[in-house]
Amino acid sequence: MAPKVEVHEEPSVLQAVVLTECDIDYGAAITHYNPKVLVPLANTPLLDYTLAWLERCGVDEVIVYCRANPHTDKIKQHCKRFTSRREECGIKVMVVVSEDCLNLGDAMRDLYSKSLLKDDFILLQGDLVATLNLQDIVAKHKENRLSDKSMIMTCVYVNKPLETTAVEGEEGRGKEVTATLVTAADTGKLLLHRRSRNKSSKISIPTELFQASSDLLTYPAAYDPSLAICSEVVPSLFSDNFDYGSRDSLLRGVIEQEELLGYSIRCQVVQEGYACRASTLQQYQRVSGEVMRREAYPMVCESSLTSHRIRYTYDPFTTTYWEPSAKFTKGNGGASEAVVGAGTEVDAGSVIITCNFRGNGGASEAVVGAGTEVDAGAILTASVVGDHCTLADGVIANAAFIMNNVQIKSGCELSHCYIGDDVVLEKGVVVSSGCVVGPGVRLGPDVTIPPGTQLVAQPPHHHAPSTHPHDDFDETARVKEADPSICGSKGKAFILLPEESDQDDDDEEEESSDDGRSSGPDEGDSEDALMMMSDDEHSENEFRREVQESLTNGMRKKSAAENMVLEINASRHAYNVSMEDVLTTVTQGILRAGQTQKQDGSTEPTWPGINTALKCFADVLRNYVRKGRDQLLVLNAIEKLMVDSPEYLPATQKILFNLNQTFEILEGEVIIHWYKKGGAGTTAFTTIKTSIAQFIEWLEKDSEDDDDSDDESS
Amino acid sequence: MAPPSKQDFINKLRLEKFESEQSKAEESLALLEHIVANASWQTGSELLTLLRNVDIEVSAKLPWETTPRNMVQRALKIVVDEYSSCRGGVSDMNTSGHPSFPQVTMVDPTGGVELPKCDQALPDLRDRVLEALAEYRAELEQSDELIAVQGESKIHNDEVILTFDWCGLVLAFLTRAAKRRHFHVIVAEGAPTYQGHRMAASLSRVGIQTTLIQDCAVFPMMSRVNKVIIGTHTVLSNGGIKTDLGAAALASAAKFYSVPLYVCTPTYKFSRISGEEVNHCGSGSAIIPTNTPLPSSVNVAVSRFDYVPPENVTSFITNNRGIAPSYVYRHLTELYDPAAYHV
Repeated sequence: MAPKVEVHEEPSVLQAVVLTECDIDYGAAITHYNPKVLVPLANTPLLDYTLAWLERCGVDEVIVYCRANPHTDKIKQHCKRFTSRREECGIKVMVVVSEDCLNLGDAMRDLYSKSLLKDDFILLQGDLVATLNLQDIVAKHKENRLSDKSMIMTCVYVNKPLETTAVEGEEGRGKEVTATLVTAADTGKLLLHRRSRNKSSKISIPTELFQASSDLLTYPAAYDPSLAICSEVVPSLFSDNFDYGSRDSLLRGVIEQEELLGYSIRCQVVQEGYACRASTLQQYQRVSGEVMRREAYPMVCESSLTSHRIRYTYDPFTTTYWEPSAKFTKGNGGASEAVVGAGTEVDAGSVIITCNFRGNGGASEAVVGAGTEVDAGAILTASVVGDHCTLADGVIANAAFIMNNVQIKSGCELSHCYIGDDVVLEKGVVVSSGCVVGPGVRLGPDVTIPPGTQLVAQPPHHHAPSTHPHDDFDETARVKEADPSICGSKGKAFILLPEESDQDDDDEEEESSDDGRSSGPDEGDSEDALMMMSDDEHSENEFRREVQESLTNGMRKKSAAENMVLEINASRHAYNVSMEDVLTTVTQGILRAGQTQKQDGSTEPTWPGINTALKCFADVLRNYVRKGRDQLLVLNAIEKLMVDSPEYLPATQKILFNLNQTFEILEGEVIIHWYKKGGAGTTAFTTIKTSIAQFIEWLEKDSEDDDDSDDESS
Repeated sequence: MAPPSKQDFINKLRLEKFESEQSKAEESLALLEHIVANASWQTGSELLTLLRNVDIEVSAKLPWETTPRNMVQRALKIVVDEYSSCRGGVSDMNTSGHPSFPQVTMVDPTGGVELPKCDQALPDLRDRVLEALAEYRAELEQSDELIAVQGESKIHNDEVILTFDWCGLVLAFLTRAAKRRHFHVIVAEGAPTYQGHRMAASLSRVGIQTTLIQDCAVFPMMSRVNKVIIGTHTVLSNGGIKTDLGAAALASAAKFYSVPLYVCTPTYKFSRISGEEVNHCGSGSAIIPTNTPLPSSVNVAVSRFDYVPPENVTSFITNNRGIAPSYVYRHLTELYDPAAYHV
């Protein structure tokens, strides 16, 4: 046992890597002005929760990793403020800025090349609010490392109560935050990791897992706080495999190539403690409520996480918090009378405030910042009000997140929305759920903002690029003049249109980490305004766009087939797309290339165009079609293309004929088989069926003839 | 060991790294000694300000932690006393505007915000203060023992003692008594931390006949109890105590059956804060088992401390002597400087 003790006694520095460029953000209306990790949650920046937790867990050094953009200085200053309070004995926070970091994988590669990581470290996202006992988790990780050298990473999951996953699972939990896990019951080794995105209640587990291990432990939907304890091997593994973009791709890579790499991953599913990421705005709202309900104890609203001072007065009966200098005025617009002065009179005043809150008929779960005036007639539920705001009589705020210096005049109704700094809402403004009102916006009087709208104060194209987080912002947001019908007669606001999937790629994919696991290619493109695209779809769309581009270029330049294949393979590795999706994309891309060449304004694809494209890329396609199954995929891809763009229908028969006869990529038998099985089962199949019936008939006859002739010859 | 620093101490306090109030008291005294010995100060006033800063910082960040604040106040008193004796006895103190004892009780409680003026630079003040603090440290370290030895005289044979939650001092008290006496102890479990379980285990290990009961079952048990002996977190200035949750119910049950309630407490737990201040609130997760489906509309309020009013406390067993709740104020004037009350 003696050597073991020695290992433990080594003065080791426990490091943590906090990624601030979180894979999903809150939309440009918020993140344009403030980095996501500095968005206040219950009047405390998100990053503080992460840092405070790490400090509490005895982490010595934190590396805050961010991409170079205008917000970097803000993050640096914030971290400086955080640590300067702690003098020498607190945690050390180091901000590492990278120019070209696109995802977690890049961050790991960069840190590896800078050799900043010495030993086991904790890898997490900057939007995590957690109270898990990290020390136990790390200790267990180290113990496992000692007994099993091949173990390189411990993923931490939280088994949440059923209620939260069931009720809010559809929209709140989101698909990217839960994972289906299969682990070996005895060691906790991770055998299967899958993002649970389909709503079906079935899980498929490969049978070979049962052969390898007798006891399997399955977690159908473990909440994934994106938290992992990594050994020093992990960054080097990322460095060796440049196509690993995210933690998911690493997981998959290590699990699939276990024999090759000789590494394994364990997971710990934690039952005790709290952990939740404020990844989307819905999640933000949820975490905010849970923090107010003190689930993240000892990180509670009333004590500041930076200075640890008690900043708010807390009333446990209504779950309300208020800064002693906040005023709760009485009377409707009459003589406004300060109920609470600063300092000594808090005790006396608090009773009255409590009465006020109760008198309002249900103010519960509210946080009110310093210098804010709330009229007695205002009703706050599950809301956060920042510093120096004014809420007039009759304001109803339900799950509203109001930042600093906001003026809200009487009769406004806010629900499930985010109101940025310095916003002015005139009388009678109704902000519906899912809205984001950017800083400096004026609205009203008497306007209703439809659900899911994002408003900004300046028309997006007026921004100087230097103050801009994304250089191509202009393209992504369409500009409109300040329209009085939208923002009211005194208003000043511009609608930031929800970005469409194809256009936002440039903007968003840099932050997205691609995990490359592909689902159906036709997954919904237009989602709820607040729901950002999931990683997969980003990468898939991006991949599709890139392939399409290379095909179109290749056609124009008449590139050789080998070069095209090389180009497509490069894209494939970059986005980590499966072979099947490559085939689908390439097939559709070739057909579309024919269309684009002929298009010139009109979108109608013509047979000559398609034919040239097919001729051009027959070799490319042949390269990808190797088995009978691949041919089926090509057929399915064509069918799916018809679903999206029915204008190809007339050409279908000719396409199939040429692929079969001229290029000999598709075998007649396969086409018949596919036809009889009912294709891919999409809606377009019935129409395709009629249009290619003639061809099939001919094929059948042909094959019979072949058979006959074969028979005769044999 | 690294020299104690204020920041370090507060961090330890904040992260709840201290095992007991005793270790908090010892560590804060070490910090104060370090400040007196190593900080750069010339006059008594400067020293007082330095010491008071510790108190201010603790009270802003962790207002429920009374022990370190009491230690600071004690140190302030020691500095003021040493300063005046340095300058030549009690008569000088009176001239410098500090009331001697009979006047202390007349001091307007809101008036004493200012620290006493100790403007002269006295070269041997540092040594004398350090000496007095060392004396105080010795007193501090002995306090547990001094309380424990009183066990035999307070407990008689065949008595039934009721205690509550975990308290090292009460355990030592009962253990010492068990050497000579034979008695029965009933332990209330102390939800939601259930430290009473640990208490019961420790008691039975030293051979005391032990019964464990639920907190809410103290009332039916009380009729057969002879004495209630509990520990506390803080003794408040009005003679009440602020202690673990459940003690108030226990104390009123004792009052109902006229069972005497003794509180074992070292003198450093005597605080000048009054009852209605600060109830530190905990988290709902402390009382709700994990994975309980409870809708978020249910408001869960958890408090950490209970308040027992002075009329329900019979007597305090301290390292000095037994003190009745109504005499706590007198004891406070002896312990702390009246001017330092309102820091």
